[in-house]
Amino acid sequence: MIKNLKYLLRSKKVLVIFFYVLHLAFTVTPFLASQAKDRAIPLSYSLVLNALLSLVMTYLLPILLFSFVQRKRSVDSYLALPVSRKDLLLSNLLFAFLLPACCSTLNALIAALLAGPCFHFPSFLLLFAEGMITIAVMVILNTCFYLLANNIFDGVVMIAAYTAMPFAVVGLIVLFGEIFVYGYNPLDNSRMYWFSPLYMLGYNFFVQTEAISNANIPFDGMYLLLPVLYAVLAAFGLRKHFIDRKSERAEQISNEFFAYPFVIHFYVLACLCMLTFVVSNEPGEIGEWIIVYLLIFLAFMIATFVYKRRIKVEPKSLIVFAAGILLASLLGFAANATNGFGLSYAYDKNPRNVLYNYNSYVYDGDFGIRSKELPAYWRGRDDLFFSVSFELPIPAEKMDEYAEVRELLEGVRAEAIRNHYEDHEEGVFGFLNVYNGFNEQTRDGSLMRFPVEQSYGYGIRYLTLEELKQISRYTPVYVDVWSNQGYDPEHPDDYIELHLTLDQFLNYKGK
Amino acid sequence: MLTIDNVCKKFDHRVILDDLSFEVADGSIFGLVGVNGSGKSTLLRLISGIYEPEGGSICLNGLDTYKDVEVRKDIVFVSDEPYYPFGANIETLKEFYSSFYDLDEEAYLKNLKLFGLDPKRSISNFSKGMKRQTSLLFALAIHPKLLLLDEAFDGLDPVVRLNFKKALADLLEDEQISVIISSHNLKELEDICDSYGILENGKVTTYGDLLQSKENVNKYQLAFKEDLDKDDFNGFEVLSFEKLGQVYTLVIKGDREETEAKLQQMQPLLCNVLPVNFEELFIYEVESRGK
Repeated sequence: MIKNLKYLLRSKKVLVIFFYVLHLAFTVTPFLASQAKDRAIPLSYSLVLNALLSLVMTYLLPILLFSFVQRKRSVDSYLALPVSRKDLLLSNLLFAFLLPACCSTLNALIAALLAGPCFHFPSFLLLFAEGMITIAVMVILNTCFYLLANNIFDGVVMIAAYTAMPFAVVGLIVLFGEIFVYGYNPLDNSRMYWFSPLYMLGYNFFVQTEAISNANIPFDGMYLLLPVLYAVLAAFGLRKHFIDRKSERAEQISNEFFAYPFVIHFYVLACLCMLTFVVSNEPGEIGEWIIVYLLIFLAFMIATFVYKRRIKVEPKSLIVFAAGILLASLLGFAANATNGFGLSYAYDKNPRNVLYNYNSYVYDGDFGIRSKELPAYWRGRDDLFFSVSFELPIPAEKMDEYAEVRELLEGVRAEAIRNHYEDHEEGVFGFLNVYNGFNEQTRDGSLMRFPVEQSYGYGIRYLTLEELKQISRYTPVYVDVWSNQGYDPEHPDDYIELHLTLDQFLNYKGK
Repeated sequence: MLTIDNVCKKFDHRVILDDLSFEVADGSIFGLVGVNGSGKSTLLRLISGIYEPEGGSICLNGLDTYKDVEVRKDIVFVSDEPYYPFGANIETLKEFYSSFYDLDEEAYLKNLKLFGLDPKRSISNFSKGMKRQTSLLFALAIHPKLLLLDEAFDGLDPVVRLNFKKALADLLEDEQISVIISSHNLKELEDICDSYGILENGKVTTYGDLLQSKENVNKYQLAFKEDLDKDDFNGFEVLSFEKLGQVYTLVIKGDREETEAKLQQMQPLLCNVLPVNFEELFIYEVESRGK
C-alpha cells in the first residue's frame, strides 16, 4: 500500500499543487474581499468555499484515480503489478481522502489565523471533524458508484445518477404527500433526506459553520450516522466491484445489476409514478398526459440505447415500460382509494410531545359578536378583523391531563380531513399545525399542516369563542388587532397593532 | 517452471479456454500460436494474474499467479497495446516501474541506448514501434523469471527486431528465465523459440519441443505407377494430402525414418523428403483438425 501511495504522491505532484493553490485562493479571497469588522463572517465564507472545493474533489478524484480499471490497456498495466488489489484500493482511497483533507485542514488553519480569536473554538473543531467525515464518506461512496460501471463514461453517469437519486425520491414523496395526504407537509420532514448522504452531510456542515460564530448548535445525529452507514455499505460494494472485480469488465457495457439496469428502471418508475399521481388526481385529463407518457418512454429508450450502445427497441423494453405504468397506476389508484394510505390520520396513533399551533384570521362576526354581514363603513373600522393564535405544547407524559383539549383539537383536525376527502367544503381559513415528536430546541418534528399551503386545500374551521376560552385554560390564546380607530382618511395606513390575550381582547371589545 | 493445470476461462457464457493444461520449463522460450480469437492474449493475461481463471490454476514455481501477489514480481506482461499515462515519458515510466519492481539500472541504460529512445520525449509522440520498444525496455530491466510478450514483433522494424532478439538473448544468457511469446509472425518465433504450443478452440492441441516437432512432421513428394487416393495412406498420420497428376505431396506426422520405410514398402517411383518450417507446421496442424 505504501509503495503505491508514495508513487501517487510523486506522480501527482502537479495535481496536489493545483488543488492546494486553488484551496488557498478560496481561503484568502473572503478575507481580502470582506469589509466586515466581525472576522467570523469571512471565516465562515472561507470555510464554506473550502468545503465546496473539497466536495468537488471527492467527485473528481475517484474518477481520476480509478479509471485504470475502466480501460483495457491500463488494466493490463496496473492489475499485473505485484500489489494486491486491496492495497491498490486502500492506497487510492487514502490518496483521494488525504488530498482534499490536507488541503482543507491547512487552509482552515490559515483561515483561523487570519480571523483571529473571534470564533467558538469547540465548534470549529467539530466543524473540522464533520468536514473530514464528509470527505471520507463521499470519497468511498463516489468511488463505489464509479466502479459499478465498466467504462469511464458510464462511471461518471453512475456518480451523477446516484447523487441525484435521493432527490428524485424526495420529489416523489413530496408529490405523493401533496396529492394524496391531506395535511402532509413533507418539506418540514427531515427524514426524507435520509437517502442522501450529500444533503445530510452538507446540512450538518452548514449548521456547524453557523455555530462557529454563534453558539454550539447541535447537528442532526442521524444525518451523521446514516452517511457513515452508507459508506460502510459502499465499502462492501468496493469489495465486489474492485477487489473481486473481473478485469475483463473493462470497456464492456455496464450491465451489473446496480449499474444501468437498476438506475434506468428506478428513474423510469419514478417518472411514471409522478405522472400517474398527477393523472389520478385529475382523471378527466388523461388525454393531455399521453404526450408526457410518450416522452418518458422516449427517455427510457434513449437511456437503454446509451446503456447497450446500440439502437434497438426490444420487446422486453416495451413490456418493462407497460409493467411500470401498471405498477405506478396501481400505486396511484391504491393511494387515491385509501386517502393516501390513511397517512393523514397517522398522528392519532402514537402521540408523543405534541404541539398544536393554531392561527386564524377572523372578523368579529365569527365570534358571534357582530353580524356576519360586513358593515358598509368597514373601511373605517379595520379592528373588526383580527388574528387569533395559540401554541399548545403537550408533553408525552401529560397526554391524559390534556385529554379534553386534545379531543377538541383532534376533532377539528379529523373534521378538516373528512371535509377534504369527502365534502370538499370551501372557504375556511383556520390554520392548524400539528407537530408530533416535537423537539423544543430545534422546533422540529413530524408536522401536519391544515391546509398544507395557504393556496392549496382547505383549512380547519374557526374555533369558536367558547372553544378558545376552553383552550385558554391550558395555554395563552392571543388576539392581534390592527386598529385604526379614529380613522383619518389622510393617513389610511396609520394603524396601531395590539397584541392581546383573549381576556384582554374581550375587555377591549367590552364583552 | 510454469504449470497450467485444467484452466477454464469464460467471458459471460462464452468459453474462451477450456480445461487447458501444459507446462513451460525454466529457461525455455515458448512460442504461443493460434488463429485470431483463439485466446492467446487471454491466456497471457491469466498467466500474469490480470484475469482470474474460473477453474484450474496457474502456478509459477508452485505459487499461484492470481492469488499470490509476491510471485508477480517475477512476471512481466507486455501487452499488445501497452498503456501509457497521458503525458508520460520514459523517465516518468521508470518512476512507475521502480515503485513496484527492482529495476536493473544497468540493463535499463544499456537497452535505452540499444533502442535509441529519448527518455524525456512524451510517449504519446512515439511511433507504434517505439512504444513497443519502451515496453520491452522496462520488461528487460525488471529481470523477471517469466516474461510474457503478446504480439511481440508487431510494429517493430527489422533492425529493432534484431536488437530485441539480441537483448532477449542477453537476458537469457544471464539467468534462467522463461519467455512466452505470442505472435502471428511464425518465422520470427522459429528463430528464437525452443518450444511451442498451438491454441485452438480453447485448448492447447499441440505443444512441445519445436525442433523435435519439426523433425516429426515432414513433407513427402511421391510418385506411383498406379492411381492412389488418400485412403491408401490410412496407415500414416496424414496432416495434408495433395495430388497433382501422378505426383503426391503429403505432410505426414511421425518418425521420419519409420515413415520413409513404410512408404518405400508402397514402392514409389519417387520419394523426396522435405523439412517443414514452423509456419507450415502450424498451418498443417490447424488444417488437419479443421477437416
